[in-house]
Amino acid sequence: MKKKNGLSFGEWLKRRWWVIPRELYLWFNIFLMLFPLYFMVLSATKTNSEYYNNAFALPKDLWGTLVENMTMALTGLVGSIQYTSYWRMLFNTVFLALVPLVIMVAAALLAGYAMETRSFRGKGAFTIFLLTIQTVPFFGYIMPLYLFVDKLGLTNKLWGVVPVYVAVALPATIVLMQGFFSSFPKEVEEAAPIDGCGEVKKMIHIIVPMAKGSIAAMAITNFMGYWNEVSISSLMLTDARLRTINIGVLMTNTQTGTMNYAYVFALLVLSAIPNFIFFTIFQKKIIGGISLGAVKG
Amino acid sequence: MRGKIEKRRPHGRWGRRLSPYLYILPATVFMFLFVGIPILMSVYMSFFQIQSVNAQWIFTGFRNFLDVFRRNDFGPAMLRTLVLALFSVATTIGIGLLLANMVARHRWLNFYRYIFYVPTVVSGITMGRLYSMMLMPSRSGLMNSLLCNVFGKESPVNWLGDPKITLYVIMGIGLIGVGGGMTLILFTTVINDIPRELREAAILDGVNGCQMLTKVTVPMIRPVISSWTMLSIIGSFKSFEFIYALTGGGPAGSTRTVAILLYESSKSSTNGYGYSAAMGLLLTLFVSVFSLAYMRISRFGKIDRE
Repeated sequence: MKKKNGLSFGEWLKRRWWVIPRELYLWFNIFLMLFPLYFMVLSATKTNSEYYNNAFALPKDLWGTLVENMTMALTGLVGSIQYTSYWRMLFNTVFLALVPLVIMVAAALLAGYAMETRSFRGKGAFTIFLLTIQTVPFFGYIMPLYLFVDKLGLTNKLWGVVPVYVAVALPATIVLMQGFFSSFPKEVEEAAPIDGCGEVKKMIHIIVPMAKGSIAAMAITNFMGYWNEVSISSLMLTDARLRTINIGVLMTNTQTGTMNYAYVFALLVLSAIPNFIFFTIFQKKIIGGISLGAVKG
Repeated sequence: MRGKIEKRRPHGRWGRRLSPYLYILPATVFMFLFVGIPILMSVYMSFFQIQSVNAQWIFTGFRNFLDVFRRNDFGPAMLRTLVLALFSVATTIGIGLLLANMVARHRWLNFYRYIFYVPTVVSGITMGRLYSMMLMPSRSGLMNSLLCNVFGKESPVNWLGDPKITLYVIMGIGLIGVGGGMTLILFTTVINDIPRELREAAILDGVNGCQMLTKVTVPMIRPVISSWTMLSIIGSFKSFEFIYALTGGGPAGSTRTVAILLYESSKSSTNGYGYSAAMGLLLTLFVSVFSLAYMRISRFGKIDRE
């Protein structure tokens, strides 16, 4: 903290000289980090020829070109080629983020609860099972997973990706849930049967409301994970109409022949907007949650 | 239905015996089917030659594994992955510490935490694609435009198309905002948790800034640094989105990391599916061995200090 209590500049310089290079480093970094984003938005407002001529120049007709480019990206109609429309990709991405999330959190909640509050035969085996699954990175079993899923007829269907997404996020989430339940007050739980509450009622009316914080934190992290996921979805979904936003962005790479810069940048902007909206809404929780969870681990 | 059960087990004993299994059932089904079985299948499949799913599975023993080793791009890919992983983790943790130290007691701590997190918000794919646009080899690419038109270089640099420099370009990009994101948040939180008395005592003893950092701050947060380094290394082995979106495996495969190699192999079936399974297993082994080794080393470090 710098306090300039009546110090002259020379004196302040001698005492806290390091502030200057420090601030320079910080702001230089900030500039480097934000510049690509600025460039992305800027280029989305230019026509192809404007972009081609001078990457730095400001566009002649900002809003007009922006609307034009956005329409291209939203409908997916670039010149004469019809790519997947953004709306469809958005729907696919939202679907693949929400549906597995709900199922996964529910399953993890139940499993974590049982693991932490009950003892039963096979509990140890289950723990080992969880640990083993977590140590094998996804790319260790992509191949058989794809074949297996193909045999089940789940490839190229949104619903086919859902169970895979659920399964992949379960182990870590269960462990986190266990962590939460270990600090769960037993008295509340024990009071329930006395008050004449059956298992199911207890779950719904007592445990879930109390776990809301943890559930929310896990939901947010996993939602972002699913939203940004690309390897599983691109492997399993080859139909152009099932593409997620990220796959759509990835696909623009392969059209290197006559690239429509405006389309690419417009699509990039569109792909970044949901992330930013999400981040702005949940930023306090995200950043706060990380620091809380981090200190424990 | 529910009412009946409640009456039948007033103390919940009968119901309790069954219900734990019921609770873990959905999770187990999902994990077993979509992760457990594939892993088992992977081990099994790697010993066979499988040209297509319905064709005969020819038992070939360890040949798939040997074939993977003999690939002339396997060694380089592993090396590359290791280099990238170590470089990115070293810079992230190293510079991340310095950055966190700069920012932890700053007046604008929360602002910096927020703004250094921004690059992480955009998905790796979007960032990678954006950078690949900025680094286009023609004169209209951003970087080249800067170099040629402003600084007067004659010919544009082929940032992402020249196998020799692409890897370094990737590392260079990694230096932007390095140590930010989750690393910054984590470190700043932990640094600020160091008890004030310690710092004040150190100041009384007359330490300067450097010594404060190395002799007070770092030792106090050593466990966090250790575990985060571990997680970062493992994470960077697995990560491939940014690089793939940036270079698609690179000009002439010069940026193929291990994860990209596997991704591509699973999309094509030229060498048979057993081959891809073998590759997956080998790489898994590689990652686990490496992580175990790291854990051993860091544990030795801790024991020595005590």
